[in-house]
Amino acid sequence: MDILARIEDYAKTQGDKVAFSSRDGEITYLELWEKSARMAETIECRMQDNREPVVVYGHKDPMMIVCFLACVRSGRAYCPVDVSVPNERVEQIVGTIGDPLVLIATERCSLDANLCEQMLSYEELKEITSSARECSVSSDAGKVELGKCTGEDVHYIIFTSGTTGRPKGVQITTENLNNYLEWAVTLDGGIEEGANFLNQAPYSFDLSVMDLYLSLATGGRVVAADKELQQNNSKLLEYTSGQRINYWVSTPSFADLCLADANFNGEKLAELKAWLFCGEVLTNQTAQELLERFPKANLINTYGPTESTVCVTEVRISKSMAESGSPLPVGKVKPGSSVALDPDTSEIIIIGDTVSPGYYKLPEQTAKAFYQREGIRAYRTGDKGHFDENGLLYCDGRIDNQIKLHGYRIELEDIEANLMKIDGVQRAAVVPRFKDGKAESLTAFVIRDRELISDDYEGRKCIRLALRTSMPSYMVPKRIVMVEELPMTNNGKLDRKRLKEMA
Amino acid sequence: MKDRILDIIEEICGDEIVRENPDINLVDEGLIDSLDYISMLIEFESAFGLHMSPSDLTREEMATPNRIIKVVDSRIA
Repeated sequence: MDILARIEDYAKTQGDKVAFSSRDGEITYLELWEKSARMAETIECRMQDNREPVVVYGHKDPMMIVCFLACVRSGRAYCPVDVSVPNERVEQIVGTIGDPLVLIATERCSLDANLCEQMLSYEELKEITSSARECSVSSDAGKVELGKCTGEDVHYIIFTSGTTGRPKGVQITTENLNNYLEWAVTLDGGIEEGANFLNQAPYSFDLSVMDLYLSLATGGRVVAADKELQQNNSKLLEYTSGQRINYWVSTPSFADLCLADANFNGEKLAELKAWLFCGEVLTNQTAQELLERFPKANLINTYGPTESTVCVTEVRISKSMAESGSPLPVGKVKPGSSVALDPDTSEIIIIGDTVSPGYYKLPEQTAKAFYQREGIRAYRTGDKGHFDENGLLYCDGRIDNQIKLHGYRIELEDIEANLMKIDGVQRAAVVPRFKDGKAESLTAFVIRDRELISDDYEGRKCIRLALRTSMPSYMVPKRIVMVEELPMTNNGKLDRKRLKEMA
Repeated sequence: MKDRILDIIEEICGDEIVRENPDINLVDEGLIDSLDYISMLIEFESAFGLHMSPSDLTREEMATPNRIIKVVDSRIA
């Protein structure tokens, strides 16, 4: 697939159709194409020989998407940075790139105006993209020559939230993206043309690539939910219901949050075709609850790291799979990719046409995680996995979520899975408690069903006893803490760092 | 003093029930295993400058928070 050609095509054949909408505004395919052309020209004129990636800062304004396309149409990668990224981290990213152009695609910018030398404000971007301005790209006059991103050119760079040190920029090429999309449009048995996609993830999280490009590749409309909306369950429900969402793209944690509202059901989201999940473990509980409340919507689980362009596996979760109580698979590997398991550690290794060429300006870290396998790029994910007899891949947690406690090797996810099998435990997360830098005990945070488990000693005891029947006693968390909700990161994933501080 | 002793017991057992019900049987309830028990004695030793050898204490004497407080208290005095 040639994604830019696709979008151009839609701009010509269905130019009036809205491509993207949020509470900050909307934009049609034609506007998107024309505005991005005008901006691409400005970028080219301004940056000339500077081919470095362009930082695009903002949230859910249509201008974000205009900026993304403008960068790649000028032959430069874009690096999306969400407003929720702390300023200090933005400085690190800008510092890593060197002297980048920074595009401010939001009206609410809290960045230091001296962050870098080249910055275009929201007002300037509005001016640049306004239709009153001449644009030579769309006319035949052609004053500025633009060489758009193709093949092995880097299309976008997403900085992953590494737990230590400096953020790592994952480079994804145009070919990576096109290869991913070639397959992604077949998700859920084939994505329907012109559908509405919910976007939850901030654009600095590559889950957003799934909704944005899948929608653009199929002539759909992205419905982006902003931060404020995501913090208000009933408002979010009204919004998504009013926008007639067909494909829901989010982390499972985000769906959990929505499930806390009893009105979150198939009547409210009557046109929902499928859930497309990625980014973290989909639990049996969440799956069961969604299938019960939304009997008409398919539940699609996917798996993959940012380093291999969003995801590489797919499976449709059936009711019986969800009810079985055994962990859910992440599915079959897409054509063009394969998965190998490290014979010693069971680490998942992804080999194929969506694997990134490596981390931006970090040759050492790149060499540690990436290598060539029979001439094809391969990436060590740091996740553990196994295949079942039907060839379905299972992700068994992070290698580094394995801790040593009193000499025993313990998988935190393993304990969590056992906790969630207990009647009345809705969600659970386990973190180690450290003393003098050594894991000393485990703390389990539990969201309970009020009718089945009480918030007192009896409740905690009942959980401990149940765990002892399924696991060795050294794995049973010493502390059981009942909570109303689990903390989430800005990306909508379980926030283990904050949990560790709470322990 | 009683409070500091309870702090240590709570830290070791990981459940505030030891304060709510100081007559609870820690062993029967599975709140303390033998590894915890040794750690607890070591904690008392370093907190109060005592010598507490597992061999001269019966587990029975140390079965509930109240009994532990009694033993530790008597040694401090």
